[in-house]
Amino acid sequence: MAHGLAVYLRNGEAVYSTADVTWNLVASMYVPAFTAESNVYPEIDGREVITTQMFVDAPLVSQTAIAHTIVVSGTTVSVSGGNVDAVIKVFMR
Amino acid sequence: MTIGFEVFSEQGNYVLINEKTMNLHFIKKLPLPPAVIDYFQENGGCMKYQYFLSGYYAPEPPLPFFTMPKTTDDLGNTISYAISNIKSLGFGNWLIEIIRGGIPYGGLPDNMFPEVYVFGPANYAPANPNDTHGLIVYMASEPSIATFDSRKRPLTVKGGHTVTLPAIPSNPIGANPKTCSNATGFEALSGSGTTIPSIAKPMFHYSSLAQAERRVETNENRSDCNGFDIFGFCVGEAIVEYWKATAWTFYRGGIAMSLDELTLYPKWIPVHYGCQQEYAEESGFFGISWLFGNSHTDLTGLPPLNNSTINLSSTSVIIGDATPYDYAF
Repeated sequence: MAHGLAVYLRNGEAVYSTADVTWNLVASMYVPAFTAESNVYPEIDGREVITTQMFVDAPLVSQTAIAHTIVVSGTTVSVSGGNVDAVIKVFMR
Repeated sequence: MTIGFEVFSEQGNYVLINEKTMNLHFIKKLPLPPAVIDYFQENGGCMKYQYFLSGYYAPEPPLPFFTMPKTTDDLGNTISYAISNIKSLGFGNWLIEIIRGGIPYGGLPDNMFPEVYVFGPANYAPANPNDTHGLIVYMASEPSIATFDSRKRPLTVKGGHTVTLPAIPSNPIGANPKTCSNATGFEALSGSGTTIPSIAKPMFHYSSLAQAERRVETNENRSDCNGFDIFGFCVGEAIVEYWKATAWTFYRGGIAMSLDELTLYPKWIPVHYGCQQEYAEESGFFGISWLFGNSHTDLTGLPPLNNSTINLSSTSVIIGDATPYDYAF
């Protein structure tokens, strides 16, 4: 790496550098069943965004669970429509 | 930005570190073997695992990643995996459930279990006390909270994809109507593959959201004449027996990886299955018939979905390399 930033541990091991890529956590939204939530995150303006959804304390794996619908529009993340508690994580890079 | 700190990647000008968003840091690799809470070999096979995380006191669940052991089932099909549930048990204890579609060829040696690595914000991640060098970035709005701490093994990712499962999880043929056994055609289907980079030890975050059920009915009947059969007509008592089998399988979404570890694709995971049977016996004399009392119908246990699929929209997959975290303190 000719330019950039690299961070090393005491033993000389490089743990992070500008040659890497990551997704940074913008928010973690706990959205209970049958509820909706909408938040504005200025940090995601102009950035690539992905979201993940995990069922929390979900019913048995063999039972029906409707996931929340996640919509990212500009800097607004809206979550609605699920019948199971879920954690939505919003990442950007 | 007027005040603060921001580092961008050489690859695509992505944000790597800033004072507003959290880098994820290594919390723990979860102990093996996991608890096996369910297991069946029919319809392609399934295993359900529970992993336990202790000492993680964040109010929100961490982000788990799992490896996909490089193996196939007895028929040479790849094995699929997904995170199906995460649950707080209180006092810093968490339960993480992983489902697997397909039973590995040759049984279940220990090295066939997925390894689970857990990541979370820096203030919940352990630091090696001997690591006195490094870089810490504190949050602008909460100066006591670090967004980045190089001593705590920040997560680097190798890929981010979305995958979409095929709308139909299988092409079932059905079961023997008399015995409700030997159901065929319920093996899970997979969707289009995505090329992923070559990674020393790939690990994946993928949460199972999609669900599907497929069922198929098969019928059979048999006629017996207890009187005299004259030119195909029964003179006297005629008995007709009917059998109907409704074989079904319930699926959850999963992902699988090719054996060369360069292609990722969505693949359904069978998580529950069964067969419900109906039987009727009808008797008659000279064309007047009635149902016998030993007819029965048992449709209990059928899943609420009936040949339908839900939560089919694209789901994110985050890919990392587990290698550095195997050697963490």
